[in-house]
Amino acid sequence: MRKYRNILAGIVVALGQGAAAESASLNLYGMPGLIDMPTGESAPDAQLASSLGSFAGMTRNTITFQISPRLTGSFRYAVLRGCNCFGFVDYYDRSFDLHYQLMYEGNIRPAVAVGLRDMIGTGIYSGEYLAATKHVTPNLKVTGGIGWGRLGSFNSFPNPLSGLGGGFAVRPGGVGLGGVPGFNQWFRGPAAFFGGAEWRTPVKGLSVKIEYSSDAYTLETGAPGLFVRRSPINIGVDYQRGNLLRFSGYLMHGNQLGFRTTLALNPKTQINAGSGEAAPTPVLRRPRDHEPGAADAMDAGWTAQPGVQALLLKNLDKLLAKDGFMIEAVAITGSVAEIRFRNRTFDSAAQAVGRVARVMTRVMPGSVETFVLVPLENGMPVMSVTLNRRDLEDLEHDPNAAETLLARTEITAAKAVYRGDTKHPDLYPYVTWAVNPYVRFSLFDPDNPVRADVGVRAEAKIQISPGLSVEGSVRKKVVGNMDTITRLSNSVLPHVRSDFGFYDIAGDPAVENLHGDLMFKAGRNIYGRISVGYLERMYGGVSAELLFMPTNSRLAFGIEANVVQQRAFNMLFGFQPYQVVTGHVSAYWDMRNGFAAQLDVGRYLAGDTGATLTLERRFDNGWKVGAFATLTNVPFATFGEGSFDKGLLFTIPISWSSGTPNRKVTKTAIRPLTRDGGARLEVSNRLYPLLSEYRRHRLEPTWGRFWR
Amino acid sequence: MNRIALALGAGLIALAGCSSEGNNSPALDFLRAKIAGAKSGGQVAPPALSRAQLAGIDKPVVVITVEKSGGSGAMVMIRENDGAQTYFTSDRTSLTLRRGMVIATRGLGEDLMFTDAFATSVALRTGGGGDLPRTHRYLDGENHTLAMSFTCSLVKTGSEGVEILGRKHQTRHFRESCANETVNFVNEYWVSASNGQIWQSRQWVGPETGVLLVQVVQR
Repeated sequence: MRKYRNILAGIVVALGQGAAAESASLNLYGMPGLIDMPTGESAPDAQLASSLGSFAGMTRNTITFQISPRLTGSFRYAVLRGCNCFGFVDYYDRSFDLHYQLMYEGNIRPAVAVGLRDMIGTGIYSGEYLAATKHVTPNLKVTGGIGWGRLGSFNSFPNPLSGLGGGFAVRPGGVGLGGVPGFNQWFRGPAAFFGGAEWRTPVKGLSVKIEYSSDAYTLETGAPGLFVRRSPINIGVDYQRGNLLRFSGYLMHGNQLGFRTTLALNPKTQINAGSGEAAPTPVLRRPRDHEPGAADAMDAGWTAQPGVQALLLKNLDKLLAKDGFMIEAVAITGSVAEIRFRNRTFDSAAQAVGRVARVMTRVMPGSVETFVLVPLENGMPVMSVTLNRRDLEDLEHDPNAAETLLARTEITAAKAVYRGDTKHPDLYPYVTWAVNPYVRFSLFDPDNPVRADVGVRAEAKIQISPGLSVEGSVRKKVVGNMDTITRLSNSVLPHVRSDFGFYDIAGDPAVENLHGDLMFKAGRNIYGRISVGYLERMYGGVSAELLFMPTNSRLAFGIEANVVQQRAFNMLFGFQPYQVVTGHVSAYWDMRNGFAAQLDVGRYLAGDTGATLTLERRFDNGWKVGAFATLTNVPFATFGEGSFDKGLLFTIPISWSSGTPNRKVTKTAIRPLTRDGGARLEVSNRLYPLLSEYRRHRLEPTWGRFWR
Repeated sequence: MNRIALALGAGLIALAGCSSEGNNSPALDFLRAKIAGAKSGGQVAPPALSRAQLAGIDKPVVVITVEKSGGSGAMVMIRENDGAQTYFTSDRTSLTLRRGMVIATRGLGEDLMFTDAFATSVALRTGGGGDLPRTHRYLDGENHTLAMSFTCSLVKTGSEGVEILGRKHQTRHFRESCANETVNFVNEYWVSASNGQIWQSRQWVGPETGVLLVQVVQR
């Protein structure tokens, strides 16, 4: 904790922001705001916060992400205990918000934001607002705003937007299947004013807030009688410890106590500053022309020695083994050394290349002037990095070592075929295995919103030859309640995903997957994969993929076809009768602003056809935060609750939290609902995630790591 | 029964995962890193160094101490490239010095990727000076290069004797004060009165790592 704060302080200081970095406080909805009301501010760019806010038996769990400096998005899971509403005793509700900073605070002008609360849920929290916030003194901010929907429900007046058209006067109702944006409701119906103030006390991290709420809590104070709204005034205190943790306590509407805790982190800022790896081997400089020994060093007579290639390979392999590298093949002439290697340690490809290159300065005979480094991924050569040995020698201790070296380095696609090289004699078969504990979650089931299993997972992979491998994963549950899922799928589509509960009930022990993969480079920029076996926990069959990915392009295209059959619920080797041919064509685009888009068009598991759009914000340390939505030819009514498949995606590199180099990442997809429409096959070794880092534009921003 | 199972589950989480690659479960790795970090302060281990241990080493040796954590260790020069000397500890932390000035660190967590400290180095030889520029380069949380520039002034404060592993040196003491809009720090140098060798120095390498005490061992 202290360490974290120090690092943050360091980074903040380093960025030259100093004390100016005051982060906007959040409200009970986990959004920039006062207590229940919004403000005109936003959180620091890229902040990811998880908030738990509660009063009067109503609890809101919200994940909030500052998508860009101006745009905030959130996903919320709320429960109204004892509500007895909409046919449920405890009512569970999912909602999404967006908040956009229209204007930043200036000397005279306030910060202004517009927001859509619960914009695609069933709509119990739906409300829109325009809010303005201004510092009156450095420690006192005041906020005023106008709200619609829920935020226009107390002391309201006719919609001032009515002048724009008759439709704005009345807000249409509707709790439907949910999941569709409520375009026809936004900014409609009566409006109301809200406002408040926040005072930063002299006590470090402590603020006091007061607000006038325009939310009448009509639903909650009506028939359910969750509380009695005595007053529109809420008061509260906010305590922030470091940037990580915030606590708030409130007196709500005159008679209810409320609280909120928020855990906030920023993917841009590592938990452990820097990197805990061992120092790299320094460059070994060859004698210069005028120095003694120069002539001997440059003599290329060594090339005639028998077995010299194998010897150099062995020496490299030995020196690089302590960093987890394996040298797969070398091709060394009098002046050029080409090395193909496996990187098992470094999440940064630039760092991996830098480490191998420096060891090469130690091992390669003096006449070798050019180093060609080809990192391999599952035996496939992806990109080729060509360096001048002299640049390594001259730039190691240069102020602009990274920039200058990058300018003189050639990054191209690797060749598809290598001939006449010397291979490591005993790399194959190469067996890797792991036994680890696992935790599995099932979220958002109204019967039990959080279920979990804990157990042991054993994985193994045998690489038979470059690109050819067999891998499998088996798990055994030790304890958990995932087998208590009793909610039966009411889906009218083939139950391609919605029977997930049966897999958790019957699948113990379970063969999660067991398949053979052949991966290959089919051309300079073309990669291929064929997988056969139990591909994922619910499907087995054959999957084939081709990916076109130029090394110097931000675009890539893929095509995938699968013939699969649904696996038996016991997750062993049997199958159910359901068979399907599914596949997609995909386009991948890394935008210059740090966002990445992926469009997949094709046929899904239930036989429905449509497209998935995925948008992610990519960070150069491996973090990704994104969202996806799939629309297919399944009508919303047939799809059922939620109307279409959508969710959030989180990719967290292990190295970010551990502070040591590690190539593993944790990937999580959060779906508000698991239904059968728009469901895609999950394949372990899809090519794009595996290979996409090996491109110029991904390497360049982090080239500084070459010298680490 | 359920309680036993729960305890078992907890035990399982605590249990070390194992694998052929030495890469374990993320949670465990994180915990282990935390524990290791807490134990050592994430710094070099402190072996008590004696002259006897140096007997077999024929390369230059420095002793460094990370003042924040108190971690300390001997470093042996393993490479020299164009006047920049790189020293290593046995656990692969490295420090690069040029004319006694720290120009880079590796394996220290938040590493100083580079600073040339050239102006200060010259001023040490000419007796001091003001308006000395200095730029430190780091990698931030996204691996982007982050440059911090400072303006420094160097003053000679007097003569002092220093003792390093039993050898006494008569030195001139210099104090370097550096600042930019948000950060300021002080470096100190104890420079040989006879040949300009920096026998001992306290050099700030970054906001997180803080000050390194560097002592050159005379052989």
